[in-house]
Amino acid sequence: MIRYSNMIVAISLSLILCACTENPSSPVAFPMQEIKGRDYEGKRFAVYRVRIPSSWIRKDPLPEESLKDTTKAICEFLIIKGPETIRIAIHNFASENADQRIPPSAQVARWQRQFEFLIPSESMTVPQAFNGFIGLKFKGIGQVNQAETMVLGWSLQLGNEHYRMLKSPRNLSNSDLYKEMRADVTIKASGPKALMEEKEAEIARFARSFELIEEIPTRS
Amino acid sequence: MKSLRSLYHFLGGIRFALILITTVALFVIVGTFIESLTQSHRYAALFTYDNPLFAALLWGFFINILFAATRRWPFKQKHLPFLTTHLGLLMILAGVLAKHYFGVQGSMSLLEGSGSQEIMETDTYAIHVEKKNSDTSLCYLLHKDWKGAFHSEVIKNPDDLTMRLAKFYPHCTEHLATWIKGSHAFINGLKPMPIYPVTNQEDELPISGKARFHHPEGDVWELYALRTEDLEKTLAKLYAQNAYLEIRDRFSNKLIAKQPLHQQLQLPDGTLLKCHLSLPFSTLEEFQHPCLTVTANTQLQMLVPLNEAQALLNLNHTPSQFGNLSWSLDISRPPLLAILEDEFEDVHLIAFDKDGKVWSESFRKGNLDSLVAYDDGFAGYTTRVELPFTSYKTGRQEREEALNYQLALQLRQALADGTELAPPLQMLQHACLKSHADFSDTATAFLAHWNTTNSWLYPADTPLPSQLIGAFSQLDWKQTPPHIQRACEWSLKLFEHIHPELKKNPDDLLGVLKRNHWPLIEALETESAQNKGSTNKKNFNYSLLTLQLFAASEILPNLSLDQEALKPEMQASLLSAYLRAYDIHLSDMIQASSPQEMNQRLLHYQAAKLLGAHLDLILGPLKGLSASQQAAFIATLPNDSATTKEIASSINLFGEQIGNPKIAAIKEPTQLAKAAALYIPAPENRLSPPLKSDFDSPPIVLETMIFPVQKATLPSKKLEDNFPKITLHVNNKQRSQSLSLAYERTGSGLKWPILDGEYLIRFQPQFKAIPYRVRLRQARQINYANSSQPYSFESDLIITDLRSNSYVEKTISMNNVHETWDGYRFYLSSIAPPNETAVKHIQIIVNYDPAKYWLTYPGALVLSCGILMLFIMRPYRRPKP
Repeated sequence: MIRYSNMIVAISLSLILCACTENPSSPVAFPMQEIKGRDYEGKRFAVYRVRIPSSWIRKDPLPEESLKDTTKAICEFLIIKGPETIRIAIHNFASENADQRIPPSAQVARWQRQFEFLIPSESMTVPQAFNGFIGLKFKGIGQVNQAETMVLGWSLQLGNEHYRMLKSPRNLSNSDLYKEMRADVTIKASGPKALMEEKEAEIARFARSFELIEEIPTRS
Repeated sequence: MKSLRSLYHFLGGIRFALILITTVALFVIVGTFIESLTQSHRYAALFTYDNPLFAALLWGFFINILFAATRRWPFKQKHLPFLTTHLGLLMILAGVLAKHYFGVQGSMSLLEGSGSQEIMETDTYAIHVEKKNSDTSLCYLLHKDWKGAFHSEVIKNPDDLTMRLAKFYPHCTEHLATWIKGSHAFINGLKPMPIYPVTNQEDELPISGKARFHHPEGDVWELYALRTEDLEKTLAKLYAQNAYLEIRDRFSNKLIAKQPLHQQLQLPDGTLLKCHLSLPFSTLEEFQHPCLTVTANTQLQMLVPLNEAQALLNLNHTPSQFGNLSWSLDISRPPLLAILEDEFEDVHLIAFDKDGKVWSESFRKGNLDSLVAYDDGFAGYTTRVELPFTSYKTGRQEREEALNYQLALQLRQALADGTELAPPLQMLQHACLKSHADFSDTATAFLAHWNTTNSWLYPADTPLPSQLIGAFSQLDWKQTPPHIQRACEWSLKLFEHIHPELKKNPDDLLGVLKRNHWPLIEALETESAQNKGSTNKKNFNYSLLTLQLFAASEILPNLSLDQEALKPEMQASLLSAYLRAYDIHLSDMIQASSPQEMNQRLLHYQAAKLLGAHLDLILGPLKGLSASQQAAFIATLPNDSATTKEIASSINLFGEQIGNPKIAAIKEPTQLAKAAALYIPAPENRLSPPLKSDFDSPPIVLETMIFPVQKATLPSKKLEDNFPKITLHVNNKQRSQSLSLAYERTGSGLKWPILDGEYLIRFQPQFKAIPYRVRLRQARQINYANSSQPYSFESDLIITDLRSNSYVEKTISMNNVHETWDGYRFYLSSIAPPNETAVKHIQIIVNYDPAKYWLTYPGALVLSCGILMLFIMRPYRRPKP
């Protein structure tokens, strides 16, 4: 009897100790895919990577198509369900100096202006910081082209310290790539409200997995 | 031999074991008390686990257990459990010793998006040296002696740089010296200025220098460098010194009086016009609503803010919707820049411009908002401030005109867009058409003029400016519904009647109406009571009364005013009543919400003034015509005429000045005409334009070199709080230098230039490379639902083994540690900031135990087996009788 009671104590203790371990939230399972930046003196660097759900349709610009016009997306994704489609576009905006950067709030204001009518109670702008980027996330529901539309947008730019490191790197051989890396980024998804609400979490996971392929250099 | 044998038995015996156990117990007891008394874990650790004696005790245990086992020689089968247990203990002890001598313990700092393969070893002290134009940096470890002081050693690096440790202080405080260094204040490009202590606030404050900032012909700035114990008094003294108060008549703009400000401030209470200067200043908040207030016969009349969006505007303290008083108040003074050091050695940069606006920036203990590194720090560091003062005029009058110009622009834009105007404005627009006057200029001029009368409606006995007479003579009330006319007439009559009483106490509208038996007073009182909490209560009553009159207009008897025979001033008065019904008054329409917005409006206005003056010059005979008339002429010009090119050049310059690339590029006469119609200010505002050079002048940017200043102080018992300081003599073949460095605990602070910028140096912990590169993707604080209380912290990492170039993606959290195959453990220690407002920074504790897998864990297993065998085999059980 004594032997069994010792065993029970030992097993209970093990269970209690095991309960202290806590698993973090599980990461997204989709594999990373690379995205190229804009043309830079004839070169187009693979600058970003992101986890893309397998059901999405990816549309890259043609290699011969010039991407100097920043109104053109560097990569687009389509989520199609029946007759409804969500379009997700990624744009980047390179800058020579920090003062040329577009404030994230200006991008958000532009998205807000694109609505014919925006429902204030269902719209919000919240700060975001991930993968070295900081900026704003915008969620807007309203009317665009007389259709009920929802927009989810991330307007991101690298943190100041990262920008400085990429602006004046010690290793000058990568300066072309670094110019692309320090570009501001917008990720904008828009589509019918019902479908957007269904896919909102998936789109948010996609956006927050967006990162630079190359590590941002640091100085000790 | 015998003594050796006794020593052998003693070392392997129970007595030695008891001595060791007792000594370790005493160590731990004392260590616990030390930690409790000093609140310092490091102090306790230095006494116990990091003490060389403690390592000797571990060796003692190892010997004791080893000899205890070997004493059983020759071994028999019954010794097996005993030997197994002792082998396990020896393996564990060997593991502990291996970790003590070869293990790694440190921390790694990471920013989201970046990575590192270096850990910072705690309790290590090293000198980090970087040579200019070299990619490599070297780190020299400093060794401490048993008393905790550094060895006085000479370090030589391969470039013939020699460093000798001259002095060591266990603790110091450090701050960055900015604008004041010792007995002088420094601004790059200017001579060092001596600092004068302020001993008597009554004496005139001594000037330290003078300078021009914008351009060689710019204003002369007075420079002061003072050390004071009472900042606010010194600031008030500085402000009043050499400043004048100017009082002008608003209608004629004539100067009525000009008095030295300090004299005006000293006048006794109850004087006809008493001024009070308020410059509240705190080190943390800097200027908090600085203002000049004016009281007449002990009643507050006017408030003049000295910074922010409403700076210099004369804010009437009677209901603000009454507009301005009939006189204006300005300050004139030589512009001033002062560098002040307070009793806490905080430095404050203070500036007053020539119109009396104030600006400040504080450098508390050398805390910097801006840091400029020249040549990556090899040429030193500076801090920089930009004074928000322009070369063109930004006084009270310019600010008011800029706001009026903004209103005119809005009206012109509304007309261009076909926006429907409010009925009273439509009526004025028709009158302007008839009299060939520019509507937006006329409307703005009338609203501005009405705003200076300090009354709810435009007083019919106040003459209109000449440029408004024509338009107001043409006001046609026939198109207006009769009941609206009646409401306007009754408003006029009512306010004329109660005006003398209201003038005495404008806040008491309800009381005045009651005394005059106003029939709808109850409704007014009810509405007023409902809006008791409203900040605009005074104005609300006036608005409500106007609305009551308009609502009751259908039943009001006709006053039978002959509209056609009315004087323009009476027409203006009636129109003002009509405008009030639509809440149209200058005070409701134009406000700048921020200093930046106000500055933008001023820039826009001054650039437009220059444009107007240029076009007057180019168009010659059309000089002084309204914007729409000049624009009509421009539209008829041929594309390639010299006049078109000149006009295009002026308008393009305007576009550049206001930062509008579209306007800066237009060339077509029709487009030029559109721009001219929109932007040219009214003729009276084109006089005395700014110079083109006023826009080209660079902003006033001041810089000063910064360097660290340390003060050795008594060390704290809590060792974690101490920052050691060292003094080094450094020299190479050409130069030598002595310098002091404070310990930079995180190894991420500034590296200071030495030997004329040939090297950078920093006193920091030692960094050690590990065979893993860790990249931080993102870190996050997870809160409990609907709460800001943290539930967990997580970080997504990519950990790359540099030996095999293989990587794993891993999320570590508070209780979820990542451990590599060879024993490196990564713990998440901290995340900052906890929200998503900035790129997050995390600290990871890295721990490496080299013997864990082949000594410690197997040892524990062997020990467990040995104990099990002791239970099962019972080797020392006495046989049953």
